[in-house]
Amino acid sequence: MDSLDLFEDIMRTYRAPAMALALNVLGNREDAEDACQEAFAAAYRVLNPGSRPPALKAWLFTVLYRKCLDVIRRRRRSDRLVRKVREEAPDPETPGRREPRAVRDKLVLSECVLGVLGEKERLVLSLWAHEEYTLNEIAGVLACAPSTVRVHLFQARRKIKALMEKGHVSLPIR
Amino acid sequence: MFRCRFAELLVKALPLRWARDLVLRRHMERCPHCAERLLSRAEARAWLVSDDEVEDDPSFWPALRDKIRRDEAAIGSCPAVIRPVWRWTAAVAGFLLLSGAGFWLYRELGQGTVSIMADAQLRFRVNSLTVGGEPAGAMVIQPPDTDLVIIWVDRQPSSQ
Repeated sequence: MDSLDLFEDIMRTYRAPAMALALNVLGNREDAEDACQEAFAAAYRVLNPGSRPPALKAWLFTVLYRKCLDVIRRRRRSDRLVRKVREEAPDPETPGRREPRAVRDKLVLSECVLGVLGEKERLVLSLWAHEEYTLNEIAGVLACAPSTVRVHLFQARRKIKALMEKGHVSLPIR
Repeated sequence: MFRCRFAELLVKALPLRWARDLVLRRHMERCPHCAERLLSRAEARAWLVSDDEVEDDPSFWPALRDKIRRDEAAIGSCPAVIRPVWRWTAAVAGFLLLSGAGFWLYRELGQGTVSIMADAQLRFRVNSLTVGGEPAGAMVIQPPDTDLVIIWVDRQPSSQ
């Protein structure tokens, strides 16, 4: 299996979890696609033909998280301009947005709630809830101590629960 | 309840992460009352986009694959395993170059210091010297391989 075949195999296996993670951290499809593209391109550059690297998923998530941070930094730089353009942009129903309505609605709703979290808290919550990663595994992705992950996770869980307790938000219907 | 409030205050107030972690481990995660006030996994999942909710974009992934193929073609037939070798080669070459330059500079500066020290005796000249109102002789001495310069003053025999 050459590196391109291996890459395609990895892309097929991990594209959905990677895109979900990027969407959860970044909150919109365009930025998530940028981060995924950069992360998978970085993955391809280090692939050796014929051998599947160990702990590939965790490594891919680490790269993806760093690419998400890059995207966030770029977004902050051009934040004012982007906001203005988005305010003037046509309704999401118009063609060009590829998101199905249900997912888009959920993204908008989730963004209202997840917006109270920092990017590290969003990543930690996503890995903990969806991937069922342990604190140590999340610490490996974030490159920090498990105690730091515990604090981020606690704060994320507490902040959203507090919003729910105050009645500002209720769980989305699935 | 008092303990819970106290622990919550500590978590908010403590500036050090490890200290907050200690409070979380000791109280928050074991206390059923506090655990109720934390988002559960199921609740978190409801807020987050899951893998199966991510729609496969018909154009994004093929476009990414094509881009990688194009990049691969641009790089040529150089396999991925070779590329890091070039980086290492460049790093070693850079290191050798810097080492060579450093050694050459060290030698040049070192020689300059030696020549200055060798000239030390020439740089000192005593024109006239008196000791107790009487003329005296002087000698400039520099011990070899040191930067120490000794000026030796002696009464001339004729003045005694």
